[in-house]
Amino acid sequence: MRRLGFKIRLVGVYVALAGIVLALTVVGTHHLLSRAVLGQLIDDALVALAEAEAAELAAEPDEPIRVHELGPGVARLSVERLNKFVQVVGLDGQVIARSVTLGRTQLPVSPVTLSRLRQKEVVLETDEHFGRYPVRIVSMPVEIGGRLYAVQVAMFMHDAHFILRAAQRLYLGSALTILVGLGLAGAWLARRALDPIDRIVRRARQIGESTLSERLPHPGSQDEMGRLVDALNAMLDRIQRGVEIQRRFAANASHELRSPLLRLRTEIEISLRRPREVPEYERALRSCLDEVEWLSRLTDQLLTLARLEVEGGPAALVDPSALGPVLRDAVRHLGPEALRRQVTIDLDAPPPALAVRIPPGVAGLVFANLLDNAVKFSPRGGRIRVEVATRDGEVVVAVSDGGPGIPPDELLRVFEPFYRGKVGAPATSGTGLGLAICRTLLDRYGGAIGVESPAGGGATFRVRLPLAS
Amino acid sequence: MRLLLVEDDGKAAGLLAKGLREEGWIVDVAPSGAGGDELASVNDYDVVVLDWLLPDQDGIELCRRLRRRGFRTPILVTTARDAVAHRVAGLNAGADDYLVKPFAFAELLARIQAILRRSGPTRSPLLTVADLTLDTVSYQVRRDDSPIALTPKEYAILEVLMRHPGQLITRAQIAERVWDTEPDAVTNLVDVHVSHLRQKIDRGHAIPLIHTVRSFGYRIGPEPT
Repeated sequence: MRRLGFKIRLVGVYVALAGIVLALTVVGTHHLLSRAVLGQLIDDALVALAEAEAAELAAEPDEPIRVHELGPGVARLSVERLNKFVQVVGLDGQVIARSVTLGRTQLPVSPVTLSRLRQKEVVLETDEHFGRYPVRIVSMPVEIGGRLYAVQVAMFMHDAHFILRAAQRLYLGSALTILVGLGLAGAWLARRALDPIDRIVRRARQIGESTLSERLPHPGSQDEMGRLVDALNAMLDRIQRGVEIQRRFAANASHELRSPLLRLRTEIEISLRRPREVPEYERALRSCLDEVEWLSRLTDQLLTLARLEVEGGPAALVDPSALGPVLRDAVRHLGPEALRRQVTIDLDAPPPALAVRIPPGVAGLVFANLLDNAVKFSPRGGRIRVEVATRDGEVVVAVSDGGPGIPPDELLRVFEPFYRGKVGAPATSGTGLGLAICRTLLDRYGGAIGVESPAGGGATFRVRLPLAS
Repeated sequence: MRLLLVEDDGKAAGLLAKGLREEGWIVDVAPSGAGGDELASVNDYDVVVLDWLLPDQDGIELCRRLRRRGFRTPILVTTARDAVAHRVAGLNAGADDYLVKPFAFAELLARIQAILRRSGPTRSPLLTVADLTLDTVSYQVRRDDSPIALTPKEYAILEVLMRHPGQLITRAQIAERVWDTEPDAVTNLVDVHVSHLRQKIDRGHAIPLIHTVRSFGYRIGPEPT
């Protein structure tokens, strides 16, 4: 079974709680009212009558015991008494006298009541079985001529009963009206409060890969709902940025792969369109070989990057490896190219004991990339410095060159895949993936890379590696 | 026929230009959008091959700007992007056709011929003036069904004339479309080649087709002016 809608459940719970509170109120009020009615209207009247009767009985100890009521010579005729019953009993339960209103019946007196009367207690009780209505009885001990008797005065409670019944109906009616009102108000409030959610849900259902620029409708307030929408929209911003980066990467990758393929294909097709001299074929084949080499390098780097993306996440803790040999290998590897371009590489050799938590192959790849860039962008006779410093549990390796530097607006972009700076001769252009691979690799192993380029030219790449202490 | 190739990939541009020249095209190469814009406004081209991704501006932006200026020459856009949205954007910007890299050189040639046909007077690859036909695909020229052998320059001049039958084509216009040098330097050469062409086309036929418009240029058609 489908769960009920949140709105209906909310209103349901609200009405149920209101119902419980109302029920408690009704029961409590009814209890207080019954006590007031019984206590003041009935019990007080009964006790007063019983006291009057007892006083009269006690005042004439020599007279035979009788109930003072209608009769010849009795002036205090009381209409009140018409619906009241009076009887005098001995403490053995024997009825000694009773009022005319009782006729042939007598008021009940239980052994419990008798024993309490013997303790000289006034007993108030309700008897449900005496007549058509419950009857309220007060029994009061009285001493006549040295002997204990009890005066009992009783009255039907039907007046009180009617009042209480009417009050009960009134309470229930009001309670139901209030409950229905609360339910309607609750439903209205719930709809008002939850309508923005419905709108958000409808819009959220429409947002997909092709409509990522859309945003959820803001309720225009800074309450919980507003904050929820802000948070979700901020999340959509981040997702959109991520998707755009992926799309740009795919578009760039297709462009980067298709351009050499076009050159290769055109070269071959045009060569084959007509017979040519042998040197021309040789030149064409060599040119094709260049393109194939370029494509191989590009493919390797793309695969490296793709593998890193797939593996994702931070790498497990790796064994410490000495930094010195890694840097020396990287510098030695670039030696011939540096020599050809008359560029000097100054390596500030780290202490032999300095070790980092990064696989030597990874660190080697990073430094080879950085040195390769530095050599490519250095002017003839230029100088590259590799400096090592330790601070805060990190090793910072700075690779500085005296090249043309990087314009401020490109400083962040140089780490994007396929981004190539506008400065730099076409002959020195690479695949545009080297720095992207460096950054991804370092991210993976808990390192980082950044670049600075002062206005006067030159660039310094700083690689931070986790120190193996 | 003169073609403007706007392509920033120098090696690809060189290869394509070489192939097109071997097919008889006069090719100008512009390595940037600005360069392409300048060449297109100075020279008269029969077709433009425009790369989408240029270092200084979007090729599509250049295409749109040229069209707004009333530039009517057919434009073929080449690009490495193959998403449908990109093709649509390219065609909507006023390009006549769209070719995704890496394309076959033969397809480039066929598409250039196709957009030329669409913008010319006939939809057939066969250009016809009276009983003279020129096949732009097989490069064969026939008059009264007998084949005529032409040199590449003669063929190129005849193609220029036959693409605009009945219209006056100036010497400079011919020079610009057939020679890859300054037009002024070759107007005399135009006359020489046209006279050779006329001998091959009109000799032995009752109705001459190539007419001289004195001190201006030439016109092809069955009737003299």
